[in-house]
Amino acid sequence: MAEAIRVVHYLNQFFGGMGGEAQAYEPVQVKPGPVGPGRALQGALGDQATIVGTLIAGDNYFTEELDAAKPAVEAYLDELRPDAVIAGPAFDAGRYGLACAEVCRIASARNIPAVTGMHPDNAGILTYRNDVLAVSTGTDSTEMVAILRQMATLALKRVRGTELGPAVAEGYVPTGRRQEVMHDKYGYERAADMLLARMAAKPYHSEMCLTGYDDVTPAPPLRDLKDAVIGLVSSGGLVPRGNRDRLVGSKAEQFFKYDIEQVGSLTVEEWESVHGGFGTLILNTKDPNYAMPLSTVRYLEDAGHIKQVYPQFFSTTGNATAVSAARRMGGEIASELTANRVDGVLLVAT
Amino acid sequence: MKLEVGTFPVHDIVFGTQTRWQDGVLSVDKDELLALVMEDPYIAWADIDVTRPGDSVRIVQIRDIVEPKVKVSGPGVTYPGISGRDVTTVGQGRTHRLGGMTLIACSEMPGFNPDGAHWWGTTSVEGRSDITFIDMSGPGAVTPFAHTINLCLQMEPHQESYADDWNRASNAAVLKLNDRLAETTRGFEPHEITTYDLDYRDNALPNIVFVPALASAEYRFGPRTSLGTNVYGIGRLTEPWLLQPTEMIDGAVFGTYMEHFTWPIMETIVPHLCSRHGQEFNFVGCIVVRSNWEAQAEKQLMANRAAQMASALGANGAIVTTNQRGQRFVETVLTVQALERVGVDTVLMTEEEDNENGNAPPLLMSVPEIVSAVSTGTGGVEVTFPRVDRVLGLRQPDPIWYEEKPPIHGRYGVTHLHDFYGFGKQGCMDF
Amino acid sequence: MTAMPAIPLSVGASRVVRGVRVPHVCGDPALSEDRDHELRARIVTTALNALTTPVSTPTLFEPDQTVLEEVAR
Repeated sequence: MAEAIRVVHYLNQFFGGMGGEAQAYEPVQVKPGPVGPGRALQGALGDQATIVGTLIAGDNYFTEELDAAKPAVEAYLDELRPDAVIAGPAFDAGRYGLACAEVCRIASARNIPAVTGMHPDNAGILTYRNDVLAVSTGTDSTEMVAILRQMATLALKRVRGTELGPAVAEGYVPTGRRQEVMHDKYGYERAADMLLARMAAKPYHSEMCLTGYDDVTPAPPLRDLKDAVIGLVSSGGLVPRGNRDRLVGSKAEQFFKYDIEQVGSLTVEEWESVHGGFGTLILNTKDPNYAMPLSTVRYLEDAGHIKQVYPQFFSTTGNATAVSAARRMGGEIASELTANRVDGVLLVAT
Repeated sequence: MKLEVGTFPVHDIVFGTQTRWQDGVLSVDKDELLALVMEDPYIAWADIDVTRPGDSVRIVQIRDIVEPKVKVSGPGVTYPGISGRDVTTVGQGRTHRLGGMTLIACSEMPGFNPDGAHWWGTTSVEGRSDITFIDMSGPGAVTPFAHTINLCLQMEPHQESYADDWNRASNAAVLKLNDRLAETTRGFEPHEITTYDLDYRDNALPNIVFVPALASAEYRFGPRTSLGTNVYGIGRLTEPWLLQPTEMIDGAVFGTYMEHFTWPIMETIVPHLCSRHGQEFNFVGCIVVRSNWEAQAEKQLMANRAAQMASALGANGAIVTTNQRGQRFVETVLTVQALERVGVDTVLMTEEEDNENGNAPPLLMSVPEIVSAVSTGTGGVEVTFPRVDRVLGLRQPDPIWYEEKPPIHGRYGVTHLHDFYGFGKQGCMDF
Repeated sequence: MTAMPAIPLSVGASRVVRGVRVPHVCGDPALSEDRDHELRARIVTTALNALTTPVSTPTLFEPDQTVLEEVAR
């Protein structure tokens, strides 16, 4: 018979049987074998795996003394040599969830498969969505035994190298990765089935979880426009006529800078748009300033409303651009503008 | 409306001395068909070929794909309003179809018009038409058309053609062949008859609508253009159209936008929903939302009007689809939102963007109202397309068309499948 | 500055100014030259004012008439 799989379980002070908030600063410690919910976990693992030790720490300790907690967990893992680490479940407890996620990350960094369990909105998921395999839970800890059973199943699959199916099928929280699968039914059948389920108020699984949009911290406001240097950026595909840099009309991965220090207004004789996603007749035969209002900005500059227009403008084509390319270009443009003490930017998106 | 669709299965297409359907074999008099096509002085060259599943064949430069259909009773003609065809309301009586085959028109579209005014298709250095092809065999034979027998009509215009002129000529030629081929079934009893009786309603069942958002080519070619997807021949930006599902089956919505062809609009979700009509739900209508409006207020208005129509129809549920990304996707998202806000449960079905290894969300934009969505994948096909023996679609195909083609990684604006209507089983899921 | 504020607001852009239409975000060629100039000034001034406005979440700024008086001052 193959040697049983060695599992280390992580719990906070409460589930570890040490006490409540008063013990929230307990440092990382180990107890042999299963503790508290670990007994049910051992039951779920059966004779396939053995909980060789339980790590316990206070929630506040783990989140506030992370620099001390991490090496302690690392040392215990090196000592206990587990084949898998199981943490929690933490349900909707934020500090506990973060601690579980950290323990899983430490294990993963040592190539030890790790599974936790928590609510999809737990801080542990929100912070480490891409790094953590977590059984999706509600907020009700009376579901503990069922959750532990799912965590045990996932952990055993991971140890044995079984490829995991989609998140909804396996019951874990999506990790941000999307992958193509072949369903049993055609798309139009699935759409009709999903609609019927919804209309009948029966359970259904949406195939898209629409998360992953950026959450940007807004830049603080400018105090005084009259003192401000304003940069201009356009994704309208604006280039000097002839397009000497060969800016593409779609799927751009590059941006270009053009000197406008001596330019009062963009003219159709000198400028054009190579954008491939909308009708450019107006820009190219009437007035390119509609996609970057240089003439108006100059007027406001002359009137003293702003101090100065930055002498170069940044141009790319915003059409079927990959998100990662857009993010990189945006970062590069922003770095250059901030390095040159530009205070604010007008960005025209066509 | 009540429509009977009679199916005449086509197990093979052979060239012969007369054009007729018999016992599942469509005989084609090639000279007769080519003479029909060449009646139009605008067409400088044409040829016809047949390809079957399993052939070492690649079909390229596809202009459109349709299933041959003819009305044998009831008002109007199939594919109404296109290239001067009658605009009588269709969707009733009996339509005969040649099942198991398609008619594929192939030609290069002029890039520039002679006056330099317009582009057609891509404006980028990297073309899109080079990833829209049909492999009839091998691991890349993944489109629905790899499983049908395809009659390919290949055409060339005279030099110096205008995109719009050529599109009209090409459409007219395709529909001439459609008529000639499907006419061979007139007077015969179909192998199988499917009856879509949409007049029948079961009041105990919920009512649903199908709401495709279809890009208009007006922004590039003007309101009277023939280019793009048309409703009864009209492609301009209009308020949403209300069509009976059987009108869609008769071809009331026709024409290629970029590389989005007619066949998927007609032959996939609409007949599927019709087949469940009266059993699981009442399929009370199709609301075609035209997209590509240039101001957000206009997009919002069209979304509102679609929701208003759905409400007036007493719809409880809707399936919304789209066919093009970018600003055109805004109409789609706003339509889902507007439908949900008037209390219509709405499923969005769409191809999605590349996940970029976890760096990008599946859709350009989202609203909280999108709570039930079906993914038809990214449109990519992660296999190598092997070298082929024959290339159909061009008089003298560039040798590069025969060569092995690399996997197509689906992402924004790059799709091989163009499956916005759920004709495949592929889809993306969260892992 | 965009004709489709729904997109940047959905993806987390902080300050969004509603422009006119996709092919002419910053003005309107259908207007007379004078009115178009006014409109352009209104859009750009709204954008500049947005830069001086504190925001905590994606916020839409609608170009309105009052900014013109500011320009005139």
